[in-house]
Amino acid sequence: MSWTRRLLVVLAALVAALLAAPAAQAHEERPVTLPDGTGSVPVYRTGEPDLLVCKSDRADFERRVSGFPEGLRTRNLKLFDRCRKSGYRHLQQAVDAVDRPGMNIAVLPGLYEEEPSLPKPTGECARLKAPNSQLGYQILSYAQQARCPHNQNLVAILGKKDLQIEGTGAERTDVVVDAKYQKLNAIRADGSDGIYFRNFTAQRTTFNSLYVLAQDGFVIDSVLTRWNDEYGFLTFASDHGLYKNCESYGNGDSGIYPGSASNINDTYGYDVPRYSIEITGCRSHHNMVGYSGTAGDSVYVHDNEFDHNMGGASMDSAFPGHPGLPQNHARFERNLIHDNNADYYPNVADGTCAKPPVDRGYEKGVVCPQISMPPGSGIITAGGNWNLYENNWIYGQRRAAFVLTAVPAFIRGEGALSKQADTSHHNRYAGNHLGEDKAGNSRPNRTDVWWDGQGEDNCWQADAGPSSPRALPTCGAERGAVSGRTDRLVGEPVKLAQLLVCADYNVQARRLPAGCDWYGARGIERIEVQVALAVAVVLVLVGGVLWRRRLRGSRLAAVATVLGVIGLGLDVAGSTMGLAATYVPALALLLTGLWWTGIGLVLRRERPRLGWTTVVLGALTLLDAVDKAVFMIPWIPLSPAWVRGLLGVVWVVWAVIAAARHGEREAQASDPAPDSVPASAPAPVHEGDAS
Amino acid sequence: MKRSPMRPRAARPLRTNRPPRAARPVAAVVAVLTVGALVLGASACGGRATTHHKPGTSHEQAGGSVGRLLAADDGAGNRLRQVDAEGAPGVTVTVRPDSEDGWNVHLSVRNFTFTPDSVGGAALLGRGHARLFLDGHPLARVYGSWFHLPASLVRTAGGGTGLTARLYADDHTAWAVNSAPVQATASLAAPSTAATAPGEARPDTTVEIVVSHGRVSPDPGRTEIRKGRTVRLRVRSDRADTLHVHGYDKEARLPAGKTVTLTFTADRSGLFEVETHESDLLLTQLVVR
Repeated sequence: MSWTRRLLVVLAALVAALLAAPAAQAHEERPVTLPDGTGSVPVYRTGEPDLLVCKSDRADFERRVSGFPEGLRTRNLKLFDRCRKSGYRHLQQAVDAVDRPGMNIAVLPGLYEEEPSLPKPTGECARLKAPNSQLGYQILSYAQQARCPHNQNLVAILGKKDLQIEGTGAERTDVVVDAKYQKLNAIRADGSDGIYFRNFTAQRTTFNSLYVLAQDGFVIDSVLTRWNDEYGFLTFASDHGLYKNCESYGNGDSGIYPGSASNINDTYGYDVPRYSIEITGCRSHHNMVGYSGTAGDSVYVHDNEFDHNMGGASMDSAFPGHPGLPQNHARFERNLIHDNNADYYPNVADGTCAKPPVDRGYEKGVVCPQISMPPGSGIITAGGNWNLYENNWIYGQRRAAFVLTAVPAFIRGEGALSKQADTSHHNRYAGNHLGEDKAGNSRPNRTDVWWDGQGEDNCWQADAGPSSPRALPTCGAERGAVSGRTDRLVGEPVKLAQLLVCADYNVQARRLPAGCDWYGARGIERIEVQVALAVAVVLVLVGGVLWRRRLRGSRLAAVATVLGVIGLGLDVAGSTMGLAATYVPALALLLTGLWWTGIGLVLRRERPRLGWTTVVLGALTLLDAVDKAVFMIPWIPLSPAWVRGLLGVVWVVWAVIAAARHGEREAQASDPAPDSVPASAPAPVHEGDAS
Repeated sequence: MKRSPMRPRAARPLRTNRPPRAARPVAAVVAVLTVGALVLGASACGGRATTHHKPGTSHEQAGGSVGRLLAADDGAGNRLRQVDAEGAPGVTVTVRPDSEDGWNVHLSVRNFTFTPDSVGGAALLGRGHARLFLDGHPLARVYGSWFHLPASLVRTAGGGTGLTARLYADDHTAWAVNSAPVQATASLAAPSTAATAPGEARPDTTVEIVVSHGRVSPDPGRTEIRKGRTVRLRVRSDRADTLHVHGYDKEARLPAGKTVTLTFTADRSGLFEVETHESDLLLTQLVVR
């Protein structure tokens, strides 16, 4: 790495130092390593169960099965008779009785509160020595989990291989495991490769309902999870996983979270031999996000529905301690991602989320968003590589169908300089049905693409509608084919400013950044509009003084100045939400660029250095307009907006000095004064879109 | 580990041919930007973001029990769940005749939240649903504070005027204070419209039958019923069975030891047998005219 490039990376890091990733998940757990990948996806076993779990009240049981189809009812009644003789009353007892790999547990219709697991830890278990997580619980080792399985888990499945747990009801809601917000996890499978979960409901925890940790081989089949502080399903650092026909809702983070899915394709391009986790036929709705994947590597997500969340799906590289960062190789196909426009931030603002979990009202639809994210988004990628988003239906999104931003490596705790710009490359968004539902009805997204501009070989389909920037690299027919080879180290300055402001969210402090539209800011409240307005005011004042004192005699300068005023006005207009994804911002740049070029040409006669600098500024601005509206200029490591903005700061100071000295000069007639030297100093606040 | 040449991530292409002169502007850029970013950072947002998940909401685990299950039930097989009087759920009920049909029932609850979606789950303090009864007969489950009670439902339930609203937990246990269920009652005034003739809510015919050890008591006989009236059969059998009314083809499951009520309107005249299916016993004959 050349040292100039290194400097740019430092620069990127410095800016990003002030950012937290916009949408990301975290989860603190004992250090785990990814499985070696020698396992396999378990297969469902029919046949008589080895162990039975049921409740003892026959009348209650008969009522529960009375509406079942005849065959299923008879089978359940038969199993009930057997269970009353030789079965267990709590799922944990059956799990504890598993003494060999490959056993099947059948759980009969009923409500399982697992009373023996409920009491708070006492004795030795109350005094475990373990570090505390930021989230307020102890990070226990496997040995500690084994010694005190119910400190955090209602049902703990530890070291049981190839176990199958199946509800025997007609619906997954016929068997309910309810943690009543008294445990972090309802069901935890740890060190239990090959587990198969089927046909039940797990609910109401202060972390996740169904937790699979560091396992090679698991299936989640027709399971419902709901009403959790963080996740419905959390499968962490696992391989050979399959989610199918699952459902999750009412979670403060995501319904489905395949975090740190095994990083098996790190060295590949788009073509990979296999995926570590497959997710299909699932519906995740009314959560903060439907799907999330910090280090969600090599996850194949197809034919699911993510709807009515704040965001449909997100994946990121934003948190330390997740094996497999940066995130890579997720593949999304044929998913329905729509109407993810819920806004749960008011629950934070009004204090609902400050109550204990049990009192927040999750069952009534309350969701407490754990982190900052842009509501109204379809798929958010905050630092990820080689992700494929193809042939999905994404519609009815009030913000954007696709959001892509970079996350420098030190945010995830990696300081190596060479890694700082290693995210947001080779993401391909092609062949999706944008703004259209499956029946072909028009359900437009407000914006189809929002990209910060960073990264190489990212591409979007040519038929994408409104986007920011307006000109995007387009995908060719084949994976890997991209029009233009842009490779920027840092995103657009105004977008970074927005992310910076928006990231200052804190649930516990009930802090919702005022300038950010994610939390409801509109019009002049938004940071983007404020920046544009401040810049416009400064430039109009400086331009006006300059014209009055130096340029009044020139018709060219007069025309240019009028264009400049219009351009600056359009720039403010173009920073509003309604116009940001149109050609207005680029038109504003065009007019402003013409202004600078025009007055620069006039100025150059008397003050060549200032004049030429102004012309350069104009040219850069025109270049920026081309970059945003026509095609993204390849080869340059920074957007023209950065150079233009920084030069603009220098220009403002210089122009003010030049205008101020003008009168002095006139008084002294032809006394030759040296050209003023630009003050290299105090950079004013508008490092943003200094048009 | 598989390695493929396709992906040079860590070693990104070097740009060594950049003229060294570029260095100074870049350094200036860095300096200016740093100052700018810090100024903006310090002024626009109160403090630097951490690189971790901010603490998020509390993940406080709930504790304690949710009342005490009593042996007694609510009369319909649901056990009582006793809680302290202080902070206990409470309900009041008001009824107003509807201008078109039946009544509008309003439940006013305190220390209680309706949770329709979690019914079937475990009991949580102050959550659940309400049930309405008319003179002890179940009418409906209610998941909110307003309920429209149609006159037809009142007829089907056999008529009556004493409306009771009782609060239940998600697991169908009845909330109770001092061993008494949490409930409120109101009287159904006659609806104001002509849509419901007052006569239709007249007291019905009730037939009580007990089957024990294969014997029917009272002994099977004939019950005379006026056409159009509501008939209520209350049957208890000591073994699980099925109740069947011929002609009307009404059936009901008879769980062992439980009283089952079968209500219908006798809208056809004739002689109809009431019997059990498994044990094949004649319970009574209905003469409708």
